[in-house]
Amino acid sequence: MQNPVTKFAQETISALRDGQPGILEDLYDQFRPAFLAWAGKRFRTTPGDLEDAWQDAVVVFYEKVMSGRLTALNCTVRTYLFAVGYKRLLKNYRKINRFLWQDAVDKALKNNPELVLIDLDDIWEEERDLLLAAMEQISPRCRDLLLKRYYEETSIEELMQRFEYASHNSVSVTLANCLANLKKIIQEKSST
Amino acid sequence: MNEQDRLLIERYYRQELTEAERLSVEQRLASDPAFRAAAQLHEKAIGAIRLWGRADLKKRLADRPLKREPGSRKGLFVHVLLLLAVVVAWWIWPAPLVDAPAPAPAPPTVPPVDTPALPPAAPPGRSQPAASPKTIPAAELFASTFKPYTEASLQVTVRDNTPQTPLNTFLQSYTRGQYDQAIASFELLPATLKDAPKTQLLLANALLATRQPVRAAAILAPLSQSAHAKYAADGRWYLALSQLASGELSRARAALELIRADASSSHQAEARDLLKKLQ
Repeated sequence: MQNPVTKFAQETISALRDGQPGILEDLYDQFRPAFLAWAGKRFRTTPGDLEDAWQDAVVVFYEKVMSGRLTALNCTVRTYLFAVGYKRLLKNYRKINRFLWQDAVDKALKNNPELVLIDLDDIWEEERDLLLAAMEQISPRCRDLLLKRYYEETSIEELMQRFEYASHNSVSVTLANCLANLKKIIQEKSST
Repeated sequence: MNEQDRLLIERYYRQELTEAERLSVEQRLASDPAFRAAAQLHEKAIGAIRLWGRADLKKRLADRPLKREPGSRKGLFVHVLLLLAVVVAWWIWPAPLVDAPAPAPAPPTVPPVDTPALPPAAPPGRSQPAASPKTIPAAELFASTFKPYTEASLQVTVRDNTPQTPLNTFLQSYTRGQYDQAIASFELLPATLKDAPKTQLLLANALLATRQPVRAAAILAPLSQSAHAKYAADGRWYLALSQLASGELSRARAALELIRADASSSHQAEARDLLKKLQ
C-alpha cells in the first residue's frame, strides 16, 4: 500500500501535469502563512523577501513538475516547498544560527542534499533584460502560444483545440514561425 | 539553417532524441560552429519564454487576494505559552545569534606562469602603482596598466555557507581576485553562459591576471570582433594588453592606435597614455 504522504504528493504532481485548474493556487495559499511564519523565525529579512521566496518555491515546484524533472517525492509537498524557499533565502540572507530542534525540512535537506537545486538565477542581468524585452516585442498571440508550449508544456493536440487551429500541422507551423521571430529579435538585440 | 536541423535542435533540448541521435548532435555541436550558434540561439529563445512565464506566474500568484489562514487565532494561548518557553530557553542558552561573517577575501594567487617576467595582477577595481615611462620593459608596462575588468553588477552577495550556482561561484572567485579558481569554475558553467561575451571577457581577464596572455588573446581576438559593441571595445583593449604581455609590441601598438582613434571607446585615453610610454 502506498504511503499516504507520497500518495498525496503523487496526486498533486499528477493534477498539475494534467493541467487541473487551481492546484497551484491552492498549494500557494495552503502553506503560505505557515512558510512565512517558519522562515520568519529563521531569517532576519523583510516580509516582502519572505513572500518572494515563497513565490519562488511554488514556481520552482511547478516548473520541475511541468518539465518532467520531478515526478515523485519522498517527503510531503509542504516539506519540499519549504526546503526550496529555505534554500532561496539562504542565498541572500544570514540564517539565525541556534535552533533547539530540527524539523522535517532540516531532515529532508540533510538526507537529500540534491533534493532541490535552485536554477533560477544563473544568467547575466543584462541577458535577462534583453530576453524579457524580446518577449515583450513579439505579438501577444505568439507569446501566449509559446508560453503554453514551452513553459506550460501543453501538447500540440491541446494547443490545437485551445487556439482553434484546423490541424496539428497548423499549430506546429505557427509555433515554428513565432519561435523564429523571437530568435530574430534576440539576435537583433544582441548585436546592438 | 534547414528544417531538419531546426527540428533536431528542438528535439535535443526537449530531450526527445535517442542515445545515438544525441551523441551525433553533441559531436556536431563541438565541430560545426553554425550548428552550435543555431543551438545556442534556440536555447536563448526557450530561456526567454521561461523567464517570461516565470515572471508571469509569480505575478499571477502575488496578485491573488490572500486567503486567511483557517483557525489562525484558535491556538493563540498555546502559542503565547510556547513563545514564553522559547524566550526562557533563549535566555538560558546565550549563544551567538548569527553565523560568523564570511571570511575576508583571500589574496590573489600566483600560479605557474606560461610567460615569464609578468608580475601578478591586483583584484578587479584596484589600481596598480604607476611606472616610470622610461626604461620600462613591456612586461612591467603591462603590469602597471592592467586592471582586471570590473563593473558594479559583478559584486555578488553569496555567502560561503550557502548553496551556489556555477555562475555565482565563478563570479565570487573572480571578484575576490582568486583567478585560478575562477578559471577552474568557468568549466562548470553551462554552454550558453560560457559563450556569453561577458563571461568570455572575464575568463580572458582571469587568464591575463594569471600570466597566460596567449590563452587570453585566443579568447579576446574573436571577442574584439563581436557584434556586441560594449564587449567588443573592451575585448580590443584587453587584446592589446595581452599582446603587450606576450611581447608582441608591433601588434600591440597597432591595436592601441585603433583604440586611440576610436572616440567611442572608453579606453581611448588609456590607449593614448600607453602608446606614449611605448615610444
